[in-house]
Amino acid sequence: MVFSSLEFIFLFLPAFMIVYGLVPKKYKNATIFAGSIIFYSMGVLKRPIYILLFLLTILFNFIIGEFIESYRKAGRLWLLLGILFNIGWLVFFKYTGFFIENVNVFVRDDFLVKDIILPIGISFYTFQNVSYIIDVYRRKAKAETNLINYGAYISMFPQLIAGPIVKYETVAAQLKERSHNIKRVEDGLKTFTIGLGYKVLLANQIGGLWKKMGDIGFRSISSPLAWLGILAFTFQIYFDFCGYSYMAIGLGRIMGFDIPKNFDHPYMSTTMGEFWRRWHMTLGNWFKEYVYIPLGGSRVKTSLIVRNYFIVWLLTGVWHGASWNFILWGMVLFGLIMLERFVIGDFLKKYRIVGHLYMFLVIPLTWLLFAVTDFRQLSIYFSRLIPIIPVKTYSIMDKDYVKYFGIYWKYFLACLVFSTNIPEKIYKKIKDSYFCAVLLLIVFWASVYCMYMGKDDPFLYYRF
Amino acid sequence: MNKFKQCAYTLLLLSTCFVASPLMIHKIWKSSAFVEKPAASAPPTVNKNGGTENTTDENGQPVTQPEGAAPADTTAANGQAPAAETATTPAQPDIFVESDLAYFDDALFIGDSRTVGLKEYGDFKSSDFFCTEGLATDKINKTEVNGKKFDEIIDAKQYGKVYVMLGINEVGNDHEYVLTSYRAIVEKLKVHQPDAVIYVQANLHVSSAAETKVITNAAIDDLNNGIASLADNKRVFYLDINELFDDEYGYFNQSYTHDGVHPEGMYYTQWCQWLCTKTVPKYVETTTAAE
Repeated sequence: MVFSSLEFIFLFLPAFMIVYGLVPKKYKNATIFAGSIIFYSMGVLKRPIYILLFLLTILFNFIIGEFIESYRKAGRLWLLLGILFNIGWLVFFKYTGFFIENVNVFVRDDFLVKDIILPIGISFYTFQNVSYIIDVYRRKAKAETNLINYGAYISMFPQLIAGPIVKYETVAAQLKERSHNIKRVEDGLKTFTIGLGYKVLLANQIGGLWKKMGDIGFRSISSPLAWLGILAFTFQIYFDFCGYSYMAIGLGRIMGFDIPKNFDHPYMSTTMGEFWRRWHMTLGNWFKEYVYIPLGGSRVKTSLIVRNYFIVWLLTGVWHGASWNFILWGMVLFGLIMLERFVIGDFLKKYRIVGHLYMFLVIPLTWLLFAVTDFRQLSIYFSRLIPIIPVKTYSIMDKDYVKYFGIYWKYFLACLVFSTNIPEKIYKKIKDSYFCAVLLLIVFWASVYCMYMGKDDPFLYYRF
Repeated sequence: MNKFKQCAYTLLLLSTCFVASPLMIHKIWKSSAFVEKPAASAPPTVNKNGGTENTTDENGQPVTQPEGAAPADTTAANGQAPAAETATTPAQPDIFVESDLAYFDDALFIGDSRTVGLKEYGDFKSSDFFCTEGLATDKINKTEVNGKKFDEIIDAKQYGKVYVMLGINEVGNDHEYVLTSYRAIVEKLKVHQPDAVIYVQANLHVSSAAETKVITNAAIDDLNNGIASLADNKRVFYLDINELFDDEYGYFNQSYTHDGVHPEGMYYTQWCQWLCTKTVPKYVETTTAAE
């Protein structure tokens, strides 16, 4: 169940909020835990074993946390066991198929490949579990003594399936004591609505153009249309993910939690390094804190800095998906960030306009590596972007870009405006006015209307 | 931590690691499906005699159809295709001859988004099109395309042939109702386009992934059979494009489509070539005499 669905907004959320509001304070965490398990169950209905696995993971990490704290001498061992267990499951689900496929390719054998369905949110909850046991080991946080509280922290439905990745230490205090008041609820609802609008009114709409690229077939798109298409994906992935994070933050706020910010207008960056400090910030922080710094961070000699970056970006690549294109994507990002750090970074920061132009080129190009998992398709698309590469094309529609720009220019304009920090600055000023409330109400009902009409459903009736 | 808690926790940890986890891995592994190997697929090629050559056998080796073999035979032999897909097609092979692209210079195409694709990516650059996404038989008189209504289009010019592909947007409606308005369109064309040969085309199937509760290939076939019955093989002819794009199970072959509903741009050329092989001469009486 995603947040931008009618079932969530009109059934699950109201029901949960009523129960949550009514139960006494000491049962609120239990309500979050139970509600989140129901939320999770609806996502894995066909595979109930995943619920069991999820609960077991919570129990396991809870015990490991207690053991680490109680037996400091053997703490290292418990930590190791904990990390192996968590990462082990992640690797099993995410990389088994990929591994066997590559064994088949490189060792020329014919092992059968299984299509293992990934449990929803495993990439996110695994990272939260690991952050918890490491924080306890480092004495940055005290081990949670109440299983219900720990369960509520890991399973909390706002951030369960797509982040932000919340570190235990950031919410530890709020798990025990937090304030609920009408102002927070109002604030949370507003943030949720903004996220909903981003997702439904921007991402889903502009995403239609990106989908169209596939429907037409990469071989049959003109070069200008290819650029429009990848630009559409660039906006789609931002408003999709950023919208989802806003919805999570809003829901968290309603429940009294401060879930950390995940995006800080990344498309305004002038370097790739800056971009990744402003995009999916909680993931970046996770890798920084639990991989980069333990490896020595930047306080080592240059060759080791390069190694550390390499490891972080390789892991970032494979975390996003078990496929060679994600590895290539991670490596390209690594290359760009190293280039910036040692060669062009200062120049780009000094001449910001050059930096923006540079980013305007490399952001869509790197997203292309991310969006197209098949290398053959990738090379076709790439050759469409750069038409000087001679390649056989097939029946390209005359002036196709005029047609699609005519349909989508409004969304491009809106996406461009909302990628900057201007709308947010205005929002902060008018936040408490009636005008803003009315505006958000319109956004809400427009989003509901789109969801109801299935405007984001590609296989809808009457769309032929 | 007291002794009891310590024992209980240790026991829980041990059973999680050494009992529950292996059991779960086993179960998840067993319940996971094997990844199917992508079948080698060649683009559909149009056989001069109208048969298609894109069938592949179990080993993925292309099998060339015997010349002139009707596609209905292929699917029947397979035994898994939805029944009656092309079975009720009125006698097909004899009446059609092959023409070149010039044949379509005085053609009008009427249809929904599939015909829009044909206009944009096909080879019939001189033909006229009255088509838009979502067009349906009962909406055709009210719909405007580029500011022109259906009546204006068919009164403005005399065409030598008119191709119609409609109905997919109404598959969920009562088919009798759809056919009534379809028939009305055909009758109207007969009156307003006295010299034109009229082709009513079967609606293109959808891929297995694109089937919904409402849009199933069974329902599409049912409607197509009704459309086929509108043909008299004198002036009105029925064409079934599905023989070009179907896979062995009667679904729209996933190799030619991304959304499961529309062919990818490059395959409209094949569609055009196929239409070239399915033409009747302008002078209708001679063809009927040959029957």
